[in-house]
Amino acid sequence: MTSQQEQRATALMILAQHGDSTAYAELLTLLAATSRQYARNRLGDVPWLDDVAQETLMTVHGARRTYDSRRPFAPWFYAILSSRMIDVLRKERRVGSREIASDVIPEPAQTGPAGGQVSDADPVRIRAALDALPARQREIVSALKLRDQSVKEVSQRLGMSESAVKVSAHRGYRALRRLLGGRES
Amino acid sequence: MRTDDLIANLADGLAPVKPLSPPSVRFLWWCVLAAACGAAGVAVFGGRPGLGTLLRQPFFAWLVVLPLGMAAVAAAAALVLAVPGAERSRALRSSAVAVGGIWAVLLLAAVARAGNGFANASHWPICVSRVVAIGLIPAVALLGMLRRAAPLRPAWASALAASAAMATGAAAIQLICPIDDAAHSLLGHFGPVLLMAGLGAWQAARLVNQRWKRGAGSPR
Repeated sequence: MTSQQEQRATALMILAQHGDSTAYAELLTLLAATSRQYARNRLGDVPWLDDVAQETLMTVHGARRTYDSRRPFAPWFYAILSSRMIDVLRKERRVGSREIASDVIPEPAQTGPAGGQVSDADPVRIRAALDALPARQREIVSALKLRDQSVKEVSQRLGMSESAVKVSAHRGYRALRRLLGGRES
Repeated sequence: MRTDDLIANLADGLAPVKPLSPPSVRFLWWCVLAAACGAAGVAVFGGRPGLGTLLRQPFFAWLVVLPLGMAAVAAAAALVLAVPGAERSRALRSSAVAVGGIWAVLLLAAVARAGNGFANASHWPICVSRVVAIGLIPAVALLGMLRRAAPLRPAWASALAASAAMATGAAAIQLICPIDDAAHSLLGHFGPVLLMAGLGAWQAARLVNQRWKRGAGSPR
């Protein structure tokens, strides 16, 4: 972060603390780019640079009241960024030690109509149905079913309670069933 | 979720926030509260006779000064740790550990000098309960201050807060407890500080809320 950017970030954060959402969006955009750059310089071109940026933004949001405008912005921000980057790095190492990354959606189970599952759904249809879900629901269903994350992990990442994640996931499954032509309940 | 969507989501529901006062200001408030609790403890449980004379004895005076010093340094370190980037060096944290270490060494040396070990240590559970009782309100207050901030090292912050509060109780109990046995002091006065520091580090996730890490207050 250059000194000019830091001055800009300080001014934007002061406005954000007063509730200016336009200034806040500009600040978060600047911080997201800085986070990605910082993580790329230290970790290389890893596929989860966006995770570092997103985790950092959520922490900045939750901790914004601790920023004191009489103090420089950069140490406050970089302390959060490096802490969150280490958290993401640990998580990725943990996941990487037991999973193999794949961009291909696994074939759906081909059960009969009695099994209650959609037998003729292909990955393209599933992807299209997923894309039709509201953003939050899509994120939750993808995390639980495609990325195999736990309810606890998803609830922590999205700042929701575990029961709220379960309810949202349940609604997402129902909507998917409907979109894929299955029975709703 | 794409980063742009997250930014829009966070900015959409933005509410104004009142920035926290600097750690130094919150530290002073906590010191006032801790001193009041210590004084209340001495008033409730009763000060030991001949305090004026005892305070002129170096060993006794150190057993009051060291817990007081530890309480102050540990509370300051916890509050500084709770603000991202505010900790410039580990000096404050190390000082808290060092003061606690000197206190422990002083007591252990006295136990060794006495030559009885812990065989004659008695009534120390009463002092443990009194230390915890006196330190309870300062502990709740300090942990409350940490919960409102954003400690990036929750285990450290929580352990320091717990030890600061219990050291307040230990300083007060030194003015209350009529037993001069070093083994009693080690178990009944220093023991709860160490115990609660360990408990604080262990239960940091519960004691120091970390919802801020996940963007607490963000729109759902």
